[in-house]
Amino acid sequence: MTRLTVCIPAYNAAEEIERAIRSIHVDEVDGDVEILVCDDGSDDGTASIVERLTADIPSIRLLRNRSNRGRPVTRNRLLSEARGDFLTWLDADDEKYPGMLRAQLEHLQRIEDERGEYGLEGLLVYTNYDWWWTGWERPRAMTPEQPDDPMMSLLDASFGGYLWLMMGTRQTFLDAGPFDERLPRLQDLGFFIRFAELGGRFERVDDESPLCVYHKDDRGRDAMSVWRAFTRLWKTYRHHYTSYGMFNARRWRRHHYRVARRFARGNDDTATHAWILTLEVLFVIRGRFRRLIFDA
Amino acid sequence: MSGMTAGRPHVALAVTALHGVSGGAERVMVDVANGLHRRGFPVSVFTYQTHNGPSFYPLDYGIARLDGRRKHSSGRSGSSLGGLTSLTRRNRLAATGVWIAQYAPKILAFRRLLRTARPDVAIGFLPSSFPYLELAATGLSIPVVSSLHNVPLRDLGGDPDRWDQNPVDIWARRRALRRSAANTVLLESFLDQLEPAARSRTHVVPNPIAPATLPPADVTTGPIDNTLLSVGRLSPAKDHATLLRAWARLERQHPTWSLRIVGDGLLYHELIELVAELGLERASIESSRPDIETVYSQAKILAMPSRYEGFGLVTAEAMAHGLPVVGFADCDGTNEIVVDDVNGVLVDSGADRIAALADELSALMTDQSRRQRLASAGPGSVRSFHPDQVIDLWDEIIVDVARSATSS
Repeated sequence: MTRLTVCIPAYNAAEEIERAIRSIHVDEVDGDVEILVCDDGSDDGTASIVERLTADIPSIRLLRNRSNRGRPVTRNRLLSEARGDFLTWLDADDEKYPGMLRAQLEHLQRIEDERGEYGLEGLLVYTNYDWWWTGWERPRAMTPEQPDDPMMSLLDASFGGYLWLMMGTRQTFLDAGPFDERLPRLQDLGFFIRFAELGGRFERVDDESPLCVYHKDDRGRDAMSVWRAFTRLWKTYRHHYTSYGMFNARRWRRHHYRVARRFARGNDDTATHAWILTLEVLFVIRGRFRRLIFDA
Repeated sequence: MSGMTAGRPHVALAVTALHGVSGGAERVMVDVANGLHRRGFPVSVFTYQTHNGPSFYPLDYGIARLDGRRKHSSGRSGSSLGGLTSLTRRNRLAATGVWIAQYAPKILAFRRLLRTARPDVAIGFLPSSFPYLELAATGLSIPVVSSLHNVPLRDLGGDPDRWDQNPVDIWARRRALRRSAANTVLLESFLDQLEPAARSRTHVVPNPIAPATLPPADVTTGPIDNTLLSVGRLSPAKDHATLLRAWARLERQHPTWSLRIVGDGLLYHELIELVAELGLERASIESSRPDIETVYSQAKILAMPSRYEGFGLVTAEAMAHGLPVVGFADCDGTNEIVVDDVNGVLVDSGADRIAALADELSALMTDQSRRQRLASAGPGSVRSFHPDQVIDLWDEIIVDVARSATSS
């Protein structure tokens, strides 16, 4: 019986993958741990590094995609291959601090003792984390508030939760899955919206300290693909946005334009920036026009 | 989202609101949603509520919740048009206009949700959802099931206090019952109240009654504190006044007995005044409480003075807890669950309801062995309302409707 599976999607992560895997403290878990790595057709030798580590860390199980299939497909493969009662994630360039797995498992165990087995259904437990931009001297501690209304906190972008912060039963992840394979970016958000639609909720462990670190840079974050991903989410979950009122829906949608523009600016991609700005202006005009008609 | 997954059709259940709504039909809907979901049906719940938020009765994780209302989409709210009732009765054109203004957004909202979730079957609970759901499904080839949760005649315009009295809305309700793939009513006797075109596609699906978790009530006469119990909303239909007046005739003769009424409602102050006016000493009225099972298990008899019941949830629950029930023979709902002299007493109201009720109660209060005999039949007579059996019925209807929709 495997107690916990840590799922790691990896693509061209030769430099960081060892650091990530070594940050998983299997001895914190009372039971077997499976470190499930899926190499998504890397061409920089990521898979052979993981293979070498297997000698040292027997918990590792390596899956390989024959070609580069993208994040969502890789995540779905990990989800379907995982065997643990509980499941959590780690990105190849990030690290867990000592104590993270223990804190999350203890929280889940306490919930199970209090509310019974069904208490774990639809529950994801997360921790605070460090946010470390390349070039920063030290990380900034992030403390996402536990949301009262998970759906709203996702739509209005007030909940800064990521998949690699979350631990829950494997079944909880399976019920909310699969990941939308047409979302090259923002799979976390798409997955969480579906999770909230099904009545899922987030709980933070009692420990206030950051328990993992997110190494962030803007390399290769193509503004247009971010934009398209937001648009797909807006179209798929339009009814959830509008159920909080047209005013909120349009405000939250406008945030998508701003984020995509920020990426374009970060990449000095003036053409994309101008294009998204044009769309944003049209969106605002359309909104004003509608309000003029419907609120007159 | 899903189409026909793994053989189980995807079911959508529609109701106006679940957030902060503690009604009986909402509870049944949540029970049915959870029951079907646990059997492996993909389930979605559609609402059209003014306030977003979690359901009062908890839905299981895995059931998709979709709300179709576009809040604040305009400064107006539909309810302000409700003030035009008298106009809608006089003028057909005005009635149609008001109805469209009031309900078109709801119909369109349900249509959007049907197109988003693409269920194989959609079930509308209560007359506040199924007429609009049926219209919303036009041309989408999604079969709709209309589910009634009260006496059909009252739901179809016979009760001026139930639902919209706009004749167009009443027409829409009748139309939905004729055109749905299937309908459900709570009791066998309700079938006769439907027109033939609706009746032929209507199934009887009672409310689920969970078996008691406490041991059955001890109905033998004790030295003190023998409780005559009544549970239910304090409303005119439940007619607690008749019970109090009947009790006024019994109180002196039965010194070890007391009357306990449990429930909330608009008539609370009126009934308290009546207790004072009749000079009753051992009659209490208290607020409803979550540990209702304990209340049943401490009583000796359940008195059900209602004039009509949509189902008789309390009657069935009391029987599950081993209480004999005394109710009126002319009360729909009660008269279908209570079998006279088997699991309770059906009072022939005759010319004087109060006297008739008092006589029958008095007889049962003094006859311990009869009480025990009736009480022991209680749990068995509500066994067919066991949640598993009720979900079986829903299961069958859904699978049937989905199959005939795909084959046609």
